[in-house]
Amino acid sequence: MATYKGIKGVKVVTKTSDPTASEAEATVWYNSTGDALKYAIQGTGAWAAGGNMSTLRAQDGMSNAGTNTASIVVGGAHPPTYTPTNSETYDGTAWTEGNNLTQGRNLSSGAGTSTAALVISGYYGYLSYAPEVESWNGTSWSEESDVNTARAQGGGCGLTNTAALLFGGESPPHPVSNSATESYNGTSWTILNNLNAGRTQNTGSGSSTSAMTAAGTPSGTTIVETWDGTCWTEVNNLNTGREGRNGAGANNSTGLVFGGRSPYIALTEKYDGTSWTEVADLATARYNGSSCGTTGNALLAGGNPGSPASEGSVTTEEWSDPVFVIKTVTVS
Amino acid sequence: MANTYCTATNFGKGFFTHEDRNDFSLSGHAGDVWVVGNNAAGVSWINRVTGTGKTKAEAQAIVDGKVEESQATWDALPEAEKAPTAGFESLTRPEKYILP
Repeated sequence: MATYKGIKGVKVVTKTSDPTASEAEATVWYNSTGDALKYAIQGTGAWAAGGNMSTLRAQDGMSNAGTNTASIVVGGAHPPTYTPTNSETYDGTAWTEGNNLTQGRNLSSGAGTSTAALVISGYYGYLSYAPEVESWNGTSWSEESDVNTARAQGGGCGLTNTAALLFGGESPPHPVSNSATESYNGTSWTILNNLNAGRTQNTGSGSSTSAMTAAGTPSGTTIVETWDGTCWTEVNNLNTGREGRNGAGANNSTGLVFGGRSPYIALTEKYDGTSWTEVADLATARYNGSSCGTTGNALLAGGNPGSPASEGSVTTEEWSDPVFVIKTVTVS
Repeated sequence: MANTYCTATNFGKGFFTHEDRNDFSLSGHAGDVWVVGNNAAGVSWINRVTGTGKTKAEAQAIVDGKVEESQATWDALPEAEKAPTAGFESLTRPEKYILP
């Protein structure tokens, strides 16, 4: 009879507790405590429930370079109540209320991490555009230089609170979707080359020198553009057009876009530098939440789940790809 | 039957895991309604989150009720906020839909 050692060259190890699934990938062990033979495999990327926020939010802003274990969310709206000022930070398990923004806003753009973030422009309330920028140092918010073009619903990205990019969005008079791009160096905003396709409700991911924007409106577009530090270049389209600013990615060759509308969708698409592939759905279709992270590790917080319309959500979802799972061998 | 139905409150972290999502289909709807893949892992998840089993008709009725509440909220919004804008996605009146 063939044995495990005969096939693999090693014995099945006995352990009193399970290792982590990622550590144990492609191995088999006997759990003596649970009297079970187990193995770990690499599964496909998936969304899991994250910790619930303390404040119901839609149209909120987030540090786009955060992760699903370290991020900050600010502002947002719960129509007809707009512009909460409070911020919350996430540690991968729970949200903790932090100091308030000076100027409450919704549909702002964001950059940075949970300890060095920017909240950029947005609405003060319905169709009232905020040019202000505030910087988070891990403890409190401070006023920074205003953007050149006040806008809401634009894409934003950047790795820190001193290196950010802002592009697209809606500017007055409503509803002008613009193509303007600006970058921040920690002191001032500089106007750079425009997007090829002006839009609002677009995603923003990456850094100030290697970024991506996808989707948006007019018309729930499929158009994707990448930024190389100098100009925007159109690349292959999404499979499903949408508006809603939910996206993640580390640079201009990787990207993840999830949720959106219309209709409200849970679809997730992943970019590999060439094309988009549909991967695992969100558990709850939603749009206009806030998001951060990379194609391997992302977070979506709050957002409008569509029905009830106009309401936000306290729920969050965490993306991991790949997912490692432990299975038990069942002998029948 | 491909799906089963329940209500359960999303309590946050751990409510559903990455492993759950690889083991069965899951989608959340208004009224804390969840449409769950009808296999052993899905049924086990409903028990784990102390979900209350529903028939499809019961689940649909809950969702419909929430949509109707939402429609009333939308109807009460100022007309300026409801006005469609050519080429742009605007707030739209919620519509009923059929659960999978």
